[in-house]
Amino acid sequence: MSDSPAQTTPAPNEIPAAEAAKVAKYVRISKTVAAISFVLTVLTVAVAYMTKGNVLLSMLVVGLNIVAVAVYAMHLNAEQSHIRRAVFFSVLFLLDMFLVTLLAYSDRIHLPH
Amino acid sequence: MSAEVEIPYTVTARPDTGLYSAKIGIWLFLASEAMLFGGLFSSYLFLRMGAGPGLWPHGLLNVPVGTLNTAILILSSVTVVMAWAALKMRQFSKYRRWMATTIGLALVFLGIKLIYEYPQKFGHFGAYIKPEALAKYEPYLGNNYLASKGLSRRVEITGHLHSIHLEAGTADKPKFEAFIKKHDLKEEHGVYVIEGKEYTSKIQKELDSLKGSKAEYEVKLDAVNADPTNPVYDSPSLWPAKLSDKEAKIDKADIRWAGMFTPEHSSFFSVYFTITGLHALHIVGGVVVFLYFLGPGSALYKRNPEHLANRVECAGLYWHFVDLVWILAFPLFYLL
Repeated sequence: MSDSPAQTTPAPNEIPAAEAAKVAKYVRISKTVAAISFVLTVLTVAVAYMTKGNVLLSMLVVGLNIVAVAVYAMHLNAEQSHIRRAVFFSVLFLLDMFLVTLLAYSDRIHLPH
Repeated sequence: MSAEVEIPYTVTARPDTGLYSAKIGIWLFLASEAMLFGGLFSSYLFLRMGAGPGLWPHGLLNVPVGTLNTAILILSSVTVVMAWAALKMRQFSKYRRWMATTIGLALVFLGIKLIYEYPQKFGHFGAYIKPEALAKYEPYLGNNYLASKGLSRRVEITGHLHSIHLEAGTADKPKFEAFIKKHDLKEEHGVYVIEGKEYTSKIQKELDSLKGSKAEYEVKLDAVNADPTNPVYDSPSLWPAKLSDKEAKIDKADIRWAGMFTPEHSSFFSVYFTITGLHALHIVGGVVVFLYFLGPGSALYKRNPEHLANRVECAGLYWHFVDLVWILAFPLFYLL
């Protein structure tokens, strides 16, 4: 059983208007996210220099940048719940991995410095 | 008699998930990739937080070049979307142009990284000074000045290695002669010269094993070590510090560890080369896939353009992820 029968390529003017509008909207979003991402990158550089490397503030800007790309450019916001769930759990696991690493530095027996 | 089997749901969505097969596949793959890079970034966190004062370098990477590379990747994320959109609109020649542009941008990124940035690091020298010898090198480290301002001390002298002047001293004679012979070093008044361009980390390890030998490293200093009390260097500058004309002589006996900026030089460079190297490999992987879609894979357009559009969409998601990893790696290594 196949759901992908051979198709004849339709001419551009045969694309349904709703589909064309959807594509155009997605292109617009991608361009906007790219512009925002670039501005946030420049902002990260500026924050790092103006605050002499304030890690928290810089990582906040980086976090915003990552969320913008993941949610809008990778259109997680419009994705099915299965995908969102998989991403949610991998982010949770990721944060857990960072937390475990950080816990090493609150270990009273092993204090590196 | 043979039956042709086709993979279901390559174009339309499965009724129960609302997704076509490749979409689920690529997201699960990206989730595993997040774990892979997450582990490495976790190592970064561990090494960075565990690094002693002055042992985590700042300002050694070229920020404007890193920013340019970030912009290139962001731009390529747009061009891959344009390629997908052209396919959806059944504009094949436009698709090819946008796909070729994406590949071009990816190659520029790789070129900057592998031809410009990496070789520059491999040709840069750094020597960590032993704690008991830090005062001797105060003119190059400026630690009294840094302490007066409440800043972290410097323990490394960096620059371009001119040469190493080596003497036998009390080293084991046969071992020393074997070293001289192996590297074909010429003698001048009892001193053997190793040229900077011939120096490698392997030679450094051999020098370390020549206990009792005397060596002096002639280093053309980076601006920060040439003028360490200049307030400009209190924090990393936006533009990479240039080499100065000033030279320093460092005794082997005062060196804790020396070498070129290769992965084994320091925790910073080991994690820098691991993460950026793996990221570069992902770029190479993306280029290979895009080349396939531009070349032989594009034949699918004639049979089923929507199927090709779905494939490009999945490759685009992967490409956005690669962009995302760089957005995180760039500030961690270049700025903070």
